[in-house]
Amino acid sequence: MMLFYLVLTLAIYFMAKKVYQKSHNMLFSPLIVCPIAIIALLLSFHVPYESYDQGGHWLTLMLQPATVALAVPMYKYRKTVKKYLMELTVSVTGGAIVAIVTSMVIASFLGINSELVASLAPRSITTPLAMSVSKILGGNPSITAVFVICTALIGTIVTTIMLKYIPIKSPVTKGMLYGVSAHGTGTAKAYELGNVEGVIASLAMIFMGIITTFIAPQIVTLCFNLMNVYL
Amino acid sequence: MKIVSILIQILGLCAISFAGNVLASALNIGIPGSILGILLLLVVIEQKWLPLEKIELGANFLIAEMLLFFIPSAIGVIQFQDVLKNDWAQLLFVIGASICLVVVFVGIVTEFIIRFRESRNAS
Repeated sequence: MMLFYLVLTLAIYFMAKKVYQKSHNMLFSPLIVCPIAIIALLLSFHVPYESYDQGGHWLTLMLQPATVALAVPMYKYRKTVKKYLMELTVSVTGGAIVAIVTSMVIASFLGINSELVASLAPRSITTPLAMSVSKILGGNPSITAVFVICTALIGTIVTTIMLKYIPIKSPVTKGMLYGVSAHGTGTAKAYELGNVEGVIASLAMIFMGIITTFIAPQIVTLCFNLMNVYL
Repeated sequence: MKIVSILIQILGLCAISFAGNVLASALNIGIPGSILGILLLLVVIEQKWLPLEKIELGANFLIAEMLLFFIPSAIGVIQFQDVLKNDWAQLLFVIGASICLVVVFVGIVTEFIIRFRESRNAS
C-alpha cells in the first residue's frame, strides 16, 4: 500500500502539472489540485493520514535535499547576489520582520492561542526550515507545514493581483515580492514572468529562509513579551 | 543516461543534506541542518571539490519539482481538523493580511533602493 500512495501522488501531480502548464491558472496549481483530490479519496475511503504518509513521507524527505540544492543557483548567480546584495539583505530582513510581527499581532488580536501563533510565525519560509524554526519557537511543526502551504498559495495569488494594480516595472522588485511573499510557489510563478524575476525570487526565498531562521527566535520572544504587556 | 546521472546527483544531494543534519546535531547551536547543508554544498562547489556540472542537473530537477515534495504536508491538514475547525477562517485572514503588508513593505523598500542606486549612478 505504501507504494500505491506514492505512485498515486506522483500520477496526480504530473497530470495536474500538465494542465497547469497549459492554463497558467493558479486554481490548477498542483499544490491545490493534488491535495484536494487525495484528501477527497482518503476521506471517502476512510484512510487515516498515517497510512497515506507511509508512502507520502518519501516525498517529504526529499524537501531537505531540494532545499540544500538551492546552493547551486546561489553559487551560479553569485554575481547577481553581489549586485543586489542591498536589496537581498535590507528588503528581505525588513520583509521577514514584517511577516513575523504582523502574523503574530493580528492572530493574537483575533484570539488565536499561543501555540498556533508560534506555529504561524515562520510561515513565510520553505517547509524544512519553517518546521525547524517552529520547533524552536514552541509551535507545532506539522501545523506550520500547513501554514507554509497556505502562504505559498495566498502569497502567489495576492502578489499577482497586486502587481496588476501597483505601478511596479522593475523585474528585480517583482522577483523580490514573489520570493519573499510565497517562497517556492512564488519562485515558480516568477520564472513564468522572466529569468531575472525568477533568479531574484529564488535568491530572495533563500535569503528569507536563512534570515528568518536566525532572527525569528528573538523577534518572536520579543513579540510575545510586548503582547503580554499591551494586549 | 541523463536520468541515471540525475539520480546519482540527487543521491549526492541527499548525502550532503544528511551530513548537514549530522553537523547540526553535533554543533547543537540552533542552526537547522538544511542551512548547514546549503553552506556545505556552497563550500564544496566553491573549493572545486565538486564541479558545478556534476551536481547541477540533480539540483535543478529537485528545485523544479519542489511543489511535489510539499504535497504530503499539505494533505497533513486532515490530521488537524479538530484544531483548525474553529479558527480556520481567522487563520486564513491572518495569513492574507500579513502577506499584503509584507508585499507593500518590501515593494516600497526595494523600489526605493533601486531608484537610489539609479540616481547615484546617473549623477
